[in-house]
Amino acid sequence: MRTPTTSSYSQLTAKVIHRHSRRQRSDRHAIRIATALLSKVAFSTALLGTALLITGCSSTSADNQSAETQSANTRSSNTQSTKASQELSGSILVSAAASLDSSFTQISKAFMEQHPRAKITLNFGSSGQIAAQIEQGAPADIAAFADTAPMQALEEAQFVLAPSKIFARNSLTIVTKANNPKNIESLADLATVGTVSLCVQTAPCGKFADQSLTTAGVSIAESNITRGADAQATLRAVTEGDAEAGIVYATDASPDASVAIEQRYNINNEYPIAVTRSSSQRVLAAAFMEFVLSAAGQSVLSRAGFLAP
Amino acid sequence: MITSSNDRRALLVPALAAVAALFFVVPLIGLLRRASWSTLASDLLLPESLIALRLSLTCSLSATALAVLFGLPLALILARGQFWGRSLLRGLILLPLVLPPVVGGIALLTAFSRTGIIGEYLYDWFGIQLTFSTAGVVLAETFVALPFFVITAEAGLRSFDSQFEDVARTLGAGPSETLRRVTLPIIAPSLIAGTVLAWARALGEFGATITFAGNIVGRTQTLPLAIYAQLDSNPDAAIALSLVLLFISLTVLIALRDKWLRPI
Repeated sequence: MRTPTTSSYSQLTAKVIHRHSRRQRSDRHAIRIATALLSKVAFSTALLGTALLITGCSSTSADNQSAETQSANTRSSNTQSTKASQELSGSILVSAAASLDSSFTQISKAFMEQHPRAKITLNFGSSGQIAAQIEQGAPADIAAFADTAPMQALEEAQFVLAPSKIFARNSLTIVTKANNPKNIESLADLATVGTVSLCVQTAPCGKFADQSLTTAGVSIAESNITRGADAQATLRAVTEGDAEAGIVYATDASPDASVAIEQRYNINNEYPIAVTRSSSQRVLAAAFMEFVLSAAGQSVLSRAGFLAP
Repeated sequence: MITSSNDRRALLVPALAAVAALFFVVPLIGLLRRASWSTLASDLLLPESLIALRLSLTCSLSATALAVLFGLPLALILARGQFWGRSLLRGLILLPLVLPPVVGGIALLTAFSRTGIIGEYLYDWFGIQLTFSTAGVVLAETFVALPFFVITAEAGLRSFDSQFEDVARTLGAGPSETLRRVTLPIIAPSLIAGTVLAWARALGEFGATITFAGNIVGRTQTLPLAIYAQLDSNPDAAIALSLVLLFISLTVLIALRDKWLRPI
C-alpha cells in the first residue's frame, strides 16, 4: 500500500480547501442572490400593501352604476318600483344622532330583513359632530339629527337633498342616580345638587338643556357642569360616573331614575332625516328614509319613547 | 454583479425611511395649511383657550412630577430586585401603555369614583371626591404617563454597569449616597428622556381624562378636551389650539437634542 506522502497530503488539503472555498463562495453567492430577491419581494409587497390600503377604503363603483340604472327605471313607473324595491341592494352609511342609537339599530335590522341584499352601516354621534363630518366630506348617505337647525344649515349649503322630513319628536328629562337618592324634584334643585352632566352646546340636547334652564331661571355654576360629547356620554356620566344628575332626552333615561321637567320649561325637539347630496346610493337611501317614516319605523320609535312627528 | 446588488439593497433602507418620514411630515404640513393664520391670535386669546392651556400645563407638570417621584423607586425595584412576581408587576405597571385610554379611565372610575373600591372610603371618611376635579385630571394623567418613565428608567438602569456602584461602596459610600452621587448621574440621560416622554404623554392625554375627570371648563377641560369640544363649532380655533400643542411638543423635543440623551 502506498503511504500518502507529504506532498499528496498537502495536495489533498489543497483540494479540500479549494472545494470547500468554492462551496463557500457559491454558498455566499447563493445567499446574496436569495437576499436580493427576498428584499425586492418584501419592498414590492410593502408598496403594494400600502397602495391597497390607500385605495381599499373607497367604495366600489359597480354598486353605484347598478343603483343609477335602477333609479332611472324606477322613476318611470310605479308598478316597476314595487318590483325594484324587492331587489334593493347596495350598502349605505346612516349617520344619526346618538339618541337614536337603539331605535335606528332596530329599524336598520328590520330593513335588512326585508331587503336581504341591502346593507346598512350605522354611525352615531352628536348632531353637531355629524353635521361637521358631512360638511367635511364624510361619505354618509343618510343624515338624521336631533334638531332642525343643523339640517337647515346643511340644506342651505346643499349638502343634503331637500326636502328633509321630520320623523320623530322628543323632550328632555332630568336623569338622576337610581332611585333618586338626592330627591331632586325640579330644575331648580340642579343648582345645588353637585356635579350636573349636560351635553356640549354643539349637541342639540346641550343647546336645549341650556334653554330650559334659562327659561326656568336656574343657573348652575360653571364649575359644576360637566359637558358630555353626546347624549349617551352625558347619560353615562350619571349612570356610571359621579355626576349627581343630568339633563338628557326622555328616551334615554330609565323610569326609576328620571324626574320630569315641567312642561312650560321643557322643549320638544324635532328629528329631521334626509338623503345626502354626495350619496351614490340614492335609491337605497330614499327607501331607508321611507322606511323610517313608515308604520314599521314609527312603531319602533314610539316603543322607544319618541313622540310622533 | 455583486456590487450592484449591494447598491440596490443599500437603497432600500433610505427609501423605507423616507416613506416613514413622509408619513409624519405630510399630516403636519396639512395641519399648517389648514390653519386660519389671520384669526390665529384671536382664536388663541379666547378665554376658553387660555384657561385650557393653563390647566394643561399645570396638570401635565404635576403628573410628570408624580410619575418621576413614584416611577423611580419602581424602576429601581424592577431593575434590581429579586422577588417572586417581578415580571407580573412589570406587566401590570406597563399595562396602561397598551390599554386604550378610555378603558384606563373606566378602570380608574371603578377604583376611585365615589362608589369605587378606594374612592368610597376617600369620600365617606375624608369627603374627598377625585372625579370631576383637577386632582382627578392629575391622577388620570399620572396613570398613563408613569409607565413611560418606568420603562425608560428601567432600561437605563439595566444597561448601567454596576461596577461603578461597587467601587463607590468599597470607597465607603452608603446605599443612598451611591444612588445619589453615582447611579443617578450616570443614568441621567435615560431619566431625562423618560421624564420628557412622560410629560408629553400627560400633555396629550384625552380618553382617561374625559372619562374620569369629566369635561368641566376651567376645572378639567385640558387642551386636548378643549380642542375636541371646539372641533364642531369652531374648527379654526380647534386647529389653532392644536398648533399650540404641536409647537410646545416640538420645542421640547428639539431642545432635548442628542447632547442630553447620549449616555456616558
